[in-house]
Amino acid sequence: MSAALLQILLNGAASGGVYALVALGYTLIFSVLGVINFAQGALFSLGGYLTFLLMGGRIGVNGALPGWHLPVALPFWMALLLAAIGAGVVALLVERVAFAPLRRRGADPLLSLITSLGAGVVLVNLLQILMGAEGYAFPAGAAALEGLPEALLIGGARIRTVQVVLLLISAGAVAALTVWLERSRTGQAMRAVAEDPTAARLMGIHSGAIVRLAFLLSGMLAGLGGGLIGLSVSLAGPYFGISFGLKGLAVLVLGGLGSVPGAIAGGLLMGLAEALIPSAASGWRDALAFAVLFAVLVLRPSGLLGRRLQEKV
Amino acid sequence: METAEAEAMSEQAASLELHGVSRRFGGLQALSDVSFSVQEGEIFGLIGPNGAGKTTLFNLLSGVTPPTSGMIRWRGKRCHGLSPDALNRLGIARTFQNLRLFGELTVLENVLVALHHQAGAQLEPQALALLEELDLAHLADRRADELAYGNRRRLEIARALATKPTLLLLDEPAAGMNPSEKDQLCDLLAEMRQRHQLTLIVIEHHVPLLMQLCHRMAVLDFGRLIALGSPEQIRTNPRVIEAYLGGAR
Repeated sequence: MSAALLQILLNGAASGGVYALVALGYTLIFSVLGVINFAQGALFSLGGYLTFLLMGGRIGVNGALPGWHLPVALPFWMALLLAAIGAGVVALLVERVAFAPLRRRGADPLLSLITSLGAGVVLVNLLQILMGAEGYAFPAGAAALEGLPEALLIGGARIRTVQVVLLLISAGAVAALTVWLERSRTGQAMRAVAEDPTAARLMGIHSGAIVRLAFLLSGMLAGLGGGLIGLSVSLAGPYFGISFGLKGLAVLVLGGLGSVPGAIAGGLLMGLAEALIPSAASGWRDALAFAVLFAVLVLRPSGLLGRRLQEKV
Repeated sequence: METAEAEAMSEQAASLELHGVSRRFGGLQALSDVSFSVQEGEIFGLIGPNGAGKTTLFNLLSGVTPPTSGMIRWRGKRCHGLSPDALNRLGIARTFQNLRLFGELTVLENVLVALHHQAGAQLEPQALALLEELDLAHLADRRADELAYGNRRRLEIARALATKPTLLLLDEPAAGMNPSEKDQLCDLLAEMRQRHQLTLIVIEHHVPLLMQLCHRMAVLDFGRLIALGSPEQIRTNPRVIEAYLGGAR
């Protein structure tokens, strides 16, 4: 395999891994509640900003407290982990304000599309008030990655270390989540709730607790993605997560709604398709991504690995 | 079962009590003012023409839908208005007429999920023992949606038993079974009731099977309770004959 091709594949897999994280976040909530959480993109932004702040980053001149920074400067790994947990906790809050009240009153689940979008807009605006609309770059290479070299040579291909880290962390998170869903007791209960919430409750499973757990995990996945992209690309303003949220939504549909392997395969496919675009034509990146989505849906209306659409009798 | 014995049963302190239970869906009165009681350890049959409200009654008893009015108690504890998981913790489990297994999980996982709320214990041996009891152990690793119909029905029973119920509601457990499977099921249910000290309420269209199995029966027609008593009393009740034959005319 030529070094150039290997480089494209690795870079594609790295961004594909992050897409898979976002899509898995949607998948968890979609499978237990049958709805999309539109605040997912805002949680992605939040994860990026939290990672930045926990690493000791300073608030810019347009923020609420210019020049202020947390009294800590954690290493990237620890900051990323804490930021993911923070985004998970905020996702629980989103569930509390945007989903739980509607569910309690038996409202149409579709209404939560609007309430979650609202929660996402509020989150992004809070970030903007606190941090300002400017972009932030993470402390450069070595400082961020504890003395790892700027780039690695793999099979003759030169890859930025950050991309490898991105790939490893997202692959690790995806693998851990998949094994947990397959093997653990609670993972089994979550799959049962996903398949038939009423039957699961009749088995004594507390479906409310399972729903909250799904939100916590999906918020953590979004936060993880935000921190990784912040490190790899920079934080391009509070709205930067929204575009990843939309891309994740496309991946979700591409892979098949509610399918875990589908979210992973869709993420990788999307990442690889984008990486194949030469940098000179990078303006066409999103157009290509959505063209792939369009083509797949024409051939397979339920997505790559989605369940066949069933006609209701 | 003799009439005298059935009467003796209805005189014991009731374990499941329904008083004036009604359920309306929009303009449809699915159940109106149903009152009866079931004794602990009894096998109680529920029959009636299609649309009589039998499954609606199961939905109320298991918390899937709340009653519009009325009172339900199991072993003295209030049941109406509780959620399915809360009722399950009170000891009420059920199966479904149109099978609601977790099709994407394996046979073993279906039972494990139902054992889920027991913290700490070794669950797999318990699950396997239940599968053994219902003659499904050899299928443990198959996906539930790959099973033949009769096996799926028994898996639903195994899954319900795994929640350690004291009251088990079976919605047409013999539907789709051939005559020999039905006979086996009959023996199995009687045996299960002994071993797990269950109270059973069974909905079944196959009335002879139910008459053979049950201590007492109730008959619903258009959402109303029209008869209650031993199989012998039900067989000769003119209102029951009217409801069944009237529908066939």
